[in-house]
Amino acid sequence: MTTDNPFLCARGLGLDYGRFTAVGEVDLEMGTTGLHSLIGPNGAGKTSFFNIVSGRLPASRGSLMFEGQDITRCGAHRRARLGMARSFQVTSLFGESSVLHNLQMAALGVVPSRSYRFWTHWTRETQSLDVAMDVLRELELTRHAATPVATLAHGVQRVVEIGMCLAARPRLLLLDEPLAGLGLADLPRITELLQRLKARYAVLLVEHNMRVVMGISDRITVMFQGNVIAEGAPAAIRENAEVRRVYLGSQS
Amino acid sequence: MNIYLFQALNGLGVGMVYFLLSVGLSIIFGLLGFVNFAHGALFLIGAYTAMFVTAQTGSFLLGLAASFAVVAVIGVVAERWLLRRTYRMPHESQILITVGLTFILTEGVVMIFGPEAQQVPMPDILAGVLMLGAYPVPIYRVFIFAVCAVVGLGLWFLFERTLFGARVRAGNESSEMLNLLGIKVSRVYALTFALGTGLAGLAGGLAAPLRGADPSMGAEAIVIAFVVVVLGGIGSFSGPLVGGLIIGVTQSMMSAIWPEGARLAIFIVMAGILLVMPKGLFGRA
Amino acid sequence: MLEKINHSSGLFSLALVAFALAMPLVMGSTATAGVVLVFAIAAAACNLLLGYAGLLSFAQGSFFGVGSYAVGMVLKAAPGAGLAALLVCVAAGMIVALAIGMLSIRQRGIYFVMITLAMAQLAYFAALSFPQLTGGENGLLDIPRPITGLEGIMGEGTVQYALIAVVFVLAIAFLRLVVRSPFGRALDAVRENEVRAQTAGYDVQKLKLLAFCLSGGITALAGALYALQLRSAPLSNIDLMTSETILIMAILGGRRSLLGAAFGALAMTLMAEQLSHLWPRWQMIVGFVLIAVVLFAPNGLGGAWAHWRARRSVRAGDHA
Repeated sequence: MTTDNPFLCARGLGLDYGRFTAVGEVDLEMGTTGLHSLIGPNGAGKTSFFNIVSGRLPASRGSLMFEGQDITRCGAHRRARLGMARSFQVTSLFGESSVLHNLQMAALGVVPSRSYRFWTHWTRETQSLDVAMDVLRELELTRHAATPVATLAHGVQRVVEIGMCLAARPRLLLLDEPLAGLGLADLPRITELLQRLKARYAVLLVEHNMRVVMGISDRITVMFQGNVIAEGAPAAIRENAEVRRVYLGSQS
Repeated sequence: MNIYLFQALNGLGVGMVYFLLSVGLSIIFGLLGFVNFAHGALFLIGAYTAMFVTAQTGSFLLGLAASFAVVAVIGVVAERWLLRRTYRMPHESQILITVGLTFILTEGVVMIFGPEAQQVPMPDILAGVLMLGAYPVPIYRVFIFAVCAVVGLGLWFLFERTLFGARVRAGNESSEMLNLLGIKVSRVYALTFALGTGLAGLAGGLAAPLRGADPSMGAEAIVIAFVVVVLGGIGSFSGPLVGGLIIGVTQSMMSAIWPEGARLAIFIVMAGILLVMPKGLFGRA
Repeated sequence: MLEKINHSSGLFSLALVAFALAMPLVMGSTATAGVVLVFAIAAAACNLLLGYAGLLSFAQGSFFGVGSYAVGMVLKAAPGAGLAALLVCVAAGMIVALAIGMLSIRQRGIYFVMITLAMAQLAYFAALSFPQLTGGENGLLDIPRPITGLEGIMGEGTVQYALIAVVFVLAIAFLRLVVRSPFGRALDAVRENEVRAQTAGYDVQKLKLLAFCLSGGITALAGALYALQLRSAPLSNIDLMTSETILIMAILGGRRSLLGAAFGALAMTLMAEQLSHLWPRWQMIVGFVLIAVVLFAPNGLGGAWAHWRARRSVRAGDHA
């Protein structure tokens, strides 16, 4: 499946906080569709790695190529416009605004020329509104359209969080623990959503829920203390002794 | 030794006063996350208190002690009755409230002492000069430097070597943790506030014989304090020290080269440093 | 939906015109009414930064002062320039805002505020240090007002007020357009959740900088009008107190309310005019009022009005 020009290619990517190395040197490749999961015990560096891929933090070393372009030095907002969309582990939305408005803002953000228009009225902004309506329908959130997101149930908020990514019409989805804090009743909805998404987008997922990860991933990368200790298909990872050791201690 | 070196040495004295003025602001913000715009007004009150007490009692030392104590009390009272309500508010609201407090304090001082600038007499023993080669060094400047150095050392000792200091440093990281450890956070805050504000008052008391006491001192002081803190970094201790010295030396040296532009020069230097080091000299991420 | 906007914009502009017409009656003279309108413009421009972009800027006085100096310099050198001088002032304000903005906007939160304060002092001392340009302590004097040809009919004072009133209505209506534009929403997003906005693709630095420039240009325009009103550009226009006054007016009126800014300016000007005769220490009252507003009515007059309207419609709904 390796191509000369992979869709997303991280080489030796790392992050230091002063003298503490959060991420050592990580290589990771992705194709244009499919779901790649990043797992590992707490403190493995998954979220830090996520932060350097999404541009939230600058990498300390290594390179990141996206669709053939070197984006290692690009800021987060530029990466968003290039087609990378990121969701947060702790829901981060525009709380006072409605679901529809949140989605519309996400749709508008990737069209820079329109977000500087200070001379036209907001209601003329129909393009982003159409995109937002599409996402609403796709995620079955239409009845919540006018509800302020801060008042929504946690499970619905997590769906909106993913919706923010979709509204940006991206090609790569970076989802940081989308299942975080979900009750059993909400799990199937998001899991099923992820299944649908992986056919259309490249999805890089950080998750702790092993059952879901094993069930929907095409490839899995396991991190431990800032480095990659294993990578492969779910079946291989499940059998990997090193992975077991890292997760379960010295039991074989 | 040429005139510029001489002025630079002079500037160290000024810089130490700026350090004393700003370190309180830095400590309070570091611990409480509270931006105290009224810090300049406290400097003002310190100056007037020193002037008043010295005139009443004849003792300059008593005046200085009073400048610390009175302002510390005002600081604690303000913290308890007004400022405590604002800890959960966004920084802008804190600034706006302390702007209001500045008006109240400044007008209060003018009500008591009148709007004109006043001379503050220097005690005779400190009024002379020491000869350093061919240059006369005012004894008072040496005195200021000595006082600030002692205070600085005392602060260092307090924060690095005492239990109280450890608590303040811990509280800097997480006040929640302090609470959980059973330490009365409100008392740590009150004492820190007293210390931080008292230092501003003391700075005012020290500065008073040099520049007199007038109602506009507060506005000048708060800007200087902010510049020093931006340059040196918030929450740190060495930051205000280095920042204060840089500003003091710049101001003194410029007053020899370009007197009208001396105060302008401070801000140009600040702008220059920020262009190159946006986080300030010791700024944390 | 379009009808609703027109309706609402129309009402808004009508309210502005009504305010401008009423001011000379309320204040007793076109001169003091002009002062109210001038500061209303500055306060509204401050609202753009404070209430929408979420930026607390102490540099507003710098823009105000730059505008006054600019109009003074242009009209003293070329009295025939007339109203074109105002355009120069807007440009000057925007350029200074760009310069100050580029240094301060890299910083977030409290650092930003502190730097704007320091920049404001830089501007003040710069004005003081170059008396050849600015007149130093005395400011620029004898600034000629632009001649419009209507002076014979209406009298110079009225013409001057009419000029200020027209700019007042246009400037605040423009600001209203800006806050209801996609750019305005983008600013709101940045203010509400900067991380999310950036992740969604918004160039936060550029957006803030643009807001800063717009605000600077309009504030400079206000400063220019004030200089025309006084026929001079005093040093006080660029000092810290001016920045603080503009901020307080913006907050009194409600940080997001443009019409509120006008009322905030009115309130402060009335306090300054009336109270200062009664008690020289009237600013102490301003201090108490400011604290009270921040603690108990954080949305100012404009917020209280919106709150009252909302409650009224709820009650009306009950009767339906």
